[in-house]
Amino acid sequence: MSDKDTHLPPVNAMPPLPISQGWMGWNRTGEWRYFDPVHENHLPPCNHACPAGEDIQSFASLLVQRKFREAYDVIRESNPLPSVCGRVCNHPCAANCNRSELDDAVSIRCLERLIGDWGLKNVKTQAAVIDPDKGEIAIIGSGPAGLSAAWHLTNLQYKVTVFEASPKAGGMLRGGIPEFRLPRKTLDAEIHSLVDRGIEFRHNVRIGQDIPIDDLQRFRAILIAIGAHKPRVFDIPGSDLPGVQQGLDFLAEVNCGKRDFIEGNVAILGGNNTAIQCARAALRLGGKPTIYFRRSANEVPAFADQIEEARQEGIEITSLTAPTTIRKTGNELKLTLQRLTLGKRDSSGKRIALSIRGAHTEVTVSRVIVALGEDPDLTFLPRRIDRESWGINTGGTHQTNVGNIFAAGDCADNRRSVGSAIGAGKAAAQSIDRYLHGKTVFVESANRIVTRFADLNVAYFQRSQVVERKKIPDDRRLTSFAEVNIGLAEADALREAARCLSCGVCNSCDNCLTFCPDHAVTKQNGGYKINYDYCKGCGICIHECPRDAIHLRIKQVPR
Amino acid sequence: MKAKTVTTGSKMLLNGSQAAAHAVRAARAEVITTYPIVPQSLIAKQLLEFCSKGELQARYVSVESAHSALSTLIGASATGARTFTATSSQGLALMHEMLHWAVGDRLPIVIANVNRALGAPWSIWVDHNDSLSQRDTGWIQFYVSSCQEVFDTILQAYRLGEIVQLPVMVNLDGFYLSHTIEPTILPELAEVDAFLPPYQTEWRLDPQKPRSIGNLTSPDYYLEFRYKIQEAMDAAKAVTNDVYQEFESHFGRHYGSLDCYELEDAKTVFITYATMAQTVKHAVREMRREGKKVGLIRIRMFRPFPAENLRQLVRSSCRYIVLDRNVSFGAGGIFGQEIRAALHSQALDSGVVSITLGLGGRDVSPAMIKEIAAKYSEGEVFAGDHYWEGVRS
Ligand SMILES: Cc1cc2nc3c(=O)[nH]c(=O)nc-3n(C[C@H](O)[C@H](O)[C@H](O)COP(=O)(O)OP(=O)(O)OC[C@H]3O[C@@H](n4cnc5c(N)ncnc54)[C@H](O)[C@@H]3O)c2cc1C
Ligand code: SF4
Ligand code: SF4
Repeated sequence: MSDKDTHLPPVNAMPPLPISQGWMGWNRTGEWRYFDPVHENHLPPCNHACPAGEDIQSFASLLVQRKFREAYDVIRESNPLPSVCGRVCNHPCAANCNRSELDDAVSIRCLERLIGDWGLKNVKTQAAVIDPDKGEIAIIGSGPAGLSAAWHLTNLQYKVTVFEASPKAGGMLRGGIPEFRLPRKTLDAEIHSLVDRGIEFRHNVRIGQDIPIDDLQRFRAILIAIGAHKPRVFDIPGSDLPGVQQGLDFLAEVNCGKRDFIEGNVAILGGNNTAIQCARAALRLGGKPTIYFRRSANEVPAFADQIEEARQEGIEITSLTAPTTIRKTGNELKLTLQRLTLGKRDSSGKRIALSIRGAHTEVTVSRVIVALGEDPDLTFLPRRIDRESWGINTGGTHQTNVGNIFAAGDCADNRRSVGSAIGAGKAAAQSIDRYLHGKTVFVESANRIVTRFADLNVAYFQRSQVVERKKIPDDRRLTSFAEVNIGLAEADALREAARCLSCGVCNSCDNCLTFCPDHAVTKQNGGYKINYDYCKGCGICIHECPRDAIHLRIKQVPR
Repeated sequence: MKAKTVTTGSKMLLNGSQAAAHAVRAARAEVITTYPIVPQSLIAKQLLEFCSKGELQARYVSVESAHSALSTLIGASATGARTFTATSSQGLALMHEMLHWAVGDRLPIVIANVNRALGAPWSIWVDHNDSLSQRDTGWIQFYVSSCQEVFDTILQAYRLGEIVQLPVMVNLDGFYLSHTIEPTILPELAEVDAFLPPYQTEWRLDPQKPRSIGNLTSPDYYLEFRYKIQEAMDAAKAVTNDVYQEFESHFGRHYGSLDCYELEDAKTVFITYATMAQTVKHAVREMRREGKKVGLIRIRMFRPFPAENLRQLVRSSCRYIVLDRNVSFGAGGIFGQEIRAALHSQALDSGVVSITLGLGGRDVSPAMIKEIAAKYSEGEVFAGDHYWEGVRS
């Protein structure tokens, strides 16, 4: 065979190695591909866990860029109360932070607090533009659920009026949570920003007492957000003696500024958040509180960080004890306690607490504070509204069985936290909006895929130490109502924000672009574009993306 | 090796691994990769030390596999960098695909392969099946037998490879050489610079002039590119001799592709390679004292195979015993076959006995060499005969 008659070069005219002499674009390696890599953000687990639905990854990354205003706006898109939540939220975000599997969770609530406080100092909330045609909405109760619903409905251009039985707005944020956790200045400022937004508050109006609920029919929709304020029944011999008080009443007094000195031992009965805060308040008033709890130590239902802070303050929790009688002797009370033990499991799988025969103790105290739990007081509501033992039943839609009456927060939900009340308020606002637009109301389900630790390429992340928030010194902490936790300094917060791994969310690290062996990834509009003419589907970009922001799709074959 | 006066430099006690690392430092390698494997790791350790102390200005890349170790160097070498990696056994086997690639792209990468037997079963001790399994990849291959030779041959490897544009593998025996200390002369770096100029090539990747290499090549071109590799291998035989001469003029040490000992009147000549040649040399010296007419040819360069040089040395009246620390199953010792093939055209192959021994680090002693001499010097040899020595009965 002879190539003489072809145009091909002789061997000596060829380079020593196969090297292109021109453009190689004709070689469309994309034809080999049988799946497509696509840039697509997944849901960070912190965002997923935040009951208020905050975009944590986003505000952390804005903070790193020192974009405080943008970070503040991002939070307030879901939560009007960042300064409150940055202090009192039980932060399930951190419990789900992927970083905790690398070293320590990002101190998300500290970042939130810093951004919230920055906003209170630097941002004057503008009044919303209200659309008079949209009609008015009544909200009963100004706890976090009511406040959040009011905020979101106002943002949707509804005129909102909030009816509050107390002289001031805030619900449990004011009546329950003590100042050493949430300074009133902060709470007032954050509520004031809602007034600035154009929300109308009617204080000292108890619906059902001062105004019958039927009088609210002029509103297009009514949201019940009355919380859970009715203490569970406590009925043992001596429970009506003077010196025996309900925890919420005690806290309400303390939180209004009634700060009488307490002498001697104080018995707190119960293990919920109310019990813990009562004990911490009693300690600061001079008493020596002990918490007596019916079940075992690891079943104390109060938030873990609150149990921890109480323990740090020297408060003892005696578990597996139940009160049987209270007697008065002179100025003192004698409280008899029955020792319990855990027996067989009941049908729910919980072990039953059984009395140990003859095992009694008696303690001498100056006061007994009772915190056995709270239920919503629904007596003022029309009977036709569907309810369960724990509150109003909306099946998660926030709409009651009576079309234009909605419910959210502690009165309609068992989660009992500020964050979930805020989330519920937002969801209720959306339900109301849908209802008023004639659409069906539904239970929102986050069907986005969550990025877990195993989805990250941790080779790209270095260990670093968490910046912890500090506490005020013990001498002030134990004797005053000064705020216990100190916020992070700005520099520390920026450092902490930089620890966020941006799980599931592309932050333009360029790894895909760097590693693509076919140069098929290019930058475009602040993101990336994959040129499928050349992407051969090797998946290297997917693997080298540190944060699970590129995913595999089966190639769409044109039919 | 005729010892000549050393120009400048210092004498140090080094093991073969350190000698290799010192050579890489003296050659001013610019990109180094390693993936740990026994017994190569000492080279990596020494190089890391040089790099971390700033005694060698190289980009040291820790990679996740031997395959990546070579892939990374292929990329680096394509941009015109001088590159190095060291490996052994399974590591080299894993590189196999990229060994071909380095040749096809004509990249003068240098690898120090510390010979180690292949599994299964696991063995960390020496034989040469790891590198000999790669004989058809197109890499130039040297087998050395002293620490000094490790150092010198790595320098020669860069010079040779960069001229003919082929990668070079310098093979040294695991433990027998990699971990054995000998006095080694380290020349002044300036002298090395004079022998080994910086690598320059017009065929390099350059972002200013984007091109792709190793691309899809149609049947119209592939054959020619392969032909050019063979041409380069042929050229390497001549260039090697120039490199040996230049080397001698700079450093005073003489090398050839073959190394001869007591050949003049020998009736039985051993042909072998690597550290085994040192043992044989010792045994030959003793047997000569006993009046036996024995000699030794040590093969230093395996690819390209120095067939012409060998043919000039071989006489029909002589018996040649090839000692192979390797085996090609179903065919015999690999050096044995190469030698027979080289001698066949002159019908000189009829006196060649091929013996496999010492696999997986089994000791080959001078006493064993003497026994082999006694056993195989007489008697008829049939083409293709292959024996095993040391197998327990
Ligand atoms: C002592 C204590 C400490 C807590 N600590 C924490 C904590 O640290 N972190 C956390 O996340 N959660 C904490 N919680 C839980 C949290 O406070 C509640 O889950 C949350 O406040 C519920 O919000 P809400 O809006 O549903 O109800 P609430 O906050 O209870 O607000 C309901 C409001 O409705 C008003 N209202 C009631 N009935 C009427 C009526 N008929 N007419 C008009 N107004 C009415 C009430 O006066 C009240 O202002 C704590 C709770 C308690 C009791
Ligand atoms: S690292 Fe950042 S994005 Fe990931 S879970 Fe933690 S806070 Fe969220
Ligand atoms: S690395 Fe490049 S070629 Fe590979 S899948 Fe990603 S975009 Fe496609």
